[in-house]
Amino acid sequence: MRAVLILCTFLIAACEIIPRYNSEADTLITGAYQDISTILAKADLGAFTSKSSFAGEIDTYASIIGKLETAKISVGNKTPTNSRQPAAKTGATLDSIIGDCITQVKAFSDDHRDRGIIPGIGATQPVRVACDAAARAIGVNRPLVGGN
Amino acid sequence: MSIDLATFNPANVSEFTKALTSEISDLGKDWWNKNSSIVRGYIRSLAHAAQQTGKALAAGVIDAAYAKELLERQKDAFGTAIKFGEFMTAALAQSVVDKAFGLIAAAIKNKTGISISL
Repeated sequence: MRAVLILCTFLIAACEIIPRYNSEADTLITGAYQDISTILAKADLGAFTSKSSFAGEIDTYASIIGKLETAKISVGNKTPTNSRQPAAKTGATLDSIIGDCITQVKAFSDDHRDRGIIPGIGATQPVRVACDAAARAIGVNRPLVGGN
Repeated sequence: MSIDLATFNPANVSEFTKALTSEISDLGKDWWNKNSSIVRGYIRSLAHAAQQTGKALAAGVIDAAYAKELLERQKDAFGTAIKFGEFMTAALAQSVVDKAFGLIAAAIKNKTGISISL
């Protein structure tokens, strides 16, 4: 039994299927997501029907995109580069999910700047889904507070 | 059922396998309950968005070109939801590996007194 346990330990101990928890990226994406949620709630409430409202939100959009892009770089830097490692593939998926969130935020902010956002036309949900997925995925291995 | 790692000391491989299977089964159930509802929520939200876009187009609130852009973004977000499902499945696999080796390390420690950090 002891031999089996020790053998198993050495065989699979290095098995990293997803990238290790990245607290820097998690903090950045969580912060960005809080701002995204506020922006989307305002849009759904009709605060952005005039494109002139964009000027008051440009700093928030810039902050969101800056945080997300920094997080994406951090994830890329910490993803294993050896394509034979499972974590390299799942790291690329995580990177892609964050990239999808950035793309959606940029498209939404372009709309806001160019025409304003009319509530109830299906413009907010794609941003919410993509960025919710990014926030959940980056935090998947977040240590429990007061961990056990 | 959660195993007490401090006292976990299987007598043979069969006993170890039984404990591990039980733990993994619980992990799988938790994963399914949590993540299937998240992905279902994403799909429902995007279906609602597509319906809103169609109605706005029909009512003349938006033009066809803008409706097409919105639908393409909704389609892209469906793709993100699928990627999320794939990633979370890999995360479950990682949890299974971590759980298995947590049990192995506990069994080694309880049998030999040697602590191996994995």
